[in-house]
Amino acid sequence: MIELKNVYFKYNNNELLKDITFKVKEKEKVVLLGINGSGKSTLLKIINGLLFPQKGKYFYKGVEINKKQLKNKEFNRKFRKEVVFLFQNPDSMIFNPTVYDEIAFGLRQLGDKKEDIDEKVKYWADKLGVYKYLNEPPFNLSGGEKQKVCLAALLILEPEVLLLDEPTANLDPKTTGWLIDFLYELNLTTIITTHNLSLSLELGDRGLVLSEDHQIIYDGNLEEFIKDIEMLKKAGLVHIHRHRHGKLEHRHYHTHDF
Amino acid sequence: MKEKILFAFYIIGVIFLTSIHNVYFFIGSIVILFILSGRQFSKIVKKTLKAILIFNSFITISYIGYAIYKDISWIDYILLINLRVFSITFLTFLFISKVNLFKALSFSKTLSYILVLSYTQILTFKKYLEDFKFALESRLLNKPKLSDSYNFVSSMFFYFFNKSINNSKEISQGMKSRGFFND
Repeated sequence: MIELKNVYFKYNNNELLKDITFKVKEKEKVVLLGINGSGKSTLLKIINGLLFPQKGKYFYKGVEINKKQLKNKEFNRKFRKEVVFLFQNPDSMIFNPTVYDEIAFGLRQLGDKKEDIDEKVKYWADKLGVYKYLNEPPFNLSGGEKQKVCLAALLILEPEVLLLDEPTANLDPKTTGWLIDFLYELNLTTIITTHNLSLSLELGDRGLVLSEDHQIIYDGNLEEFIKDIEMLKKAGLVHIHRHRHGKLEHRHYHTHDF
Repeated sequence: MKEKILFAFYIIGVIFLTSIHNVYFFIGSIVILFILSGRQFSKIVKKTLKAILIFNSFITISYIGYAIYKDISWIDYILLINLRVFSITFLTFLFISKVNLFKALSFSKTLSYILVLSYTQILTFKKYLEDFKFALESRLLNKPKLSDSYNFVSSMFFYFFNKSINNSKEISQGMKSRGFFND
């Protein structure tokens, strides 16, 4: 469904992605791991057709995604409906006067009937627990609620691929738990970025790991990756500092992410 | 030292460009600035035009309308104000492209702090602005309606407005906490 071949991307003389090659099958749940600045968000933006590789190629369902391809209005509409992206900061996605309008935005663009839109908006608002806010402006909601509104606005399009950039970064533990369960039940292809190791196991089975050097250093079973201390060190996903257990003090690599 | 000298020249340049009211002086200054910009000429010209276009067009059109209504001459004034704004903006972009601002302002602690604070704000806002644009592009299935564009621009404006207020409150609390001022 998704295929990247030797993708390279540079921004302001900084190399952000180097020689990225992988495939993602339909309905696969992939977790993209890497430290801050490793290129995770850039990679998602390439998969969403917002940025384009300077070298290498990206294919979605066998079609190469580039500027020219997305200028084709019909293809662009199909692609934007099928591949959706939840940004890390939900504020950047919200611009409609009410939560209802925000969720209905995509279907209105497609020119769906008013009654169908109404039914679907209410369904998704209810499913995501934001029904009571439908007539309120989305700007005043909390971060977690805004994220739910954004998710509803994306899922109402019945996409095939859901890209999520650090979806738990701004959530409290309760909402994080809710989101994990919600994503688990979604029957679509998901690619989720995080640098939280323990959480990654809850978000998918396959891990793609970006190194500090912006290359993929691991592609495979997440549980095995997390057991591999050498690989974790290479990815910069573990740290070392002094530990105190009563009177005993020692140093070793470990995580503190949950 | 070089940066500080260039900064002094920049300030003198701005003073000249704001206090002299002669069209030929501005034409001459712009030609000199173009020569000084060298290879970066087209890049800085584009940046300058982009920066002043909306504001200057608004001022120019409003003034022409007013002058026609009052039956007064407008050519000299419009030419002067546009050349003045263009030359000062061009000079500023040229200065920024050639000089490390942090070194240029290192003679004053206060100015250095203000620069660091402003710079971090600019970088943060630049990232947010990019995300806003990408998020809209990602959600657009068709060309946006006029009302959608209006909603997008206004929500972005309020977001940045509120963010600026919150950030400035936090920064001033941070500075107070570190003993920069006490009132």
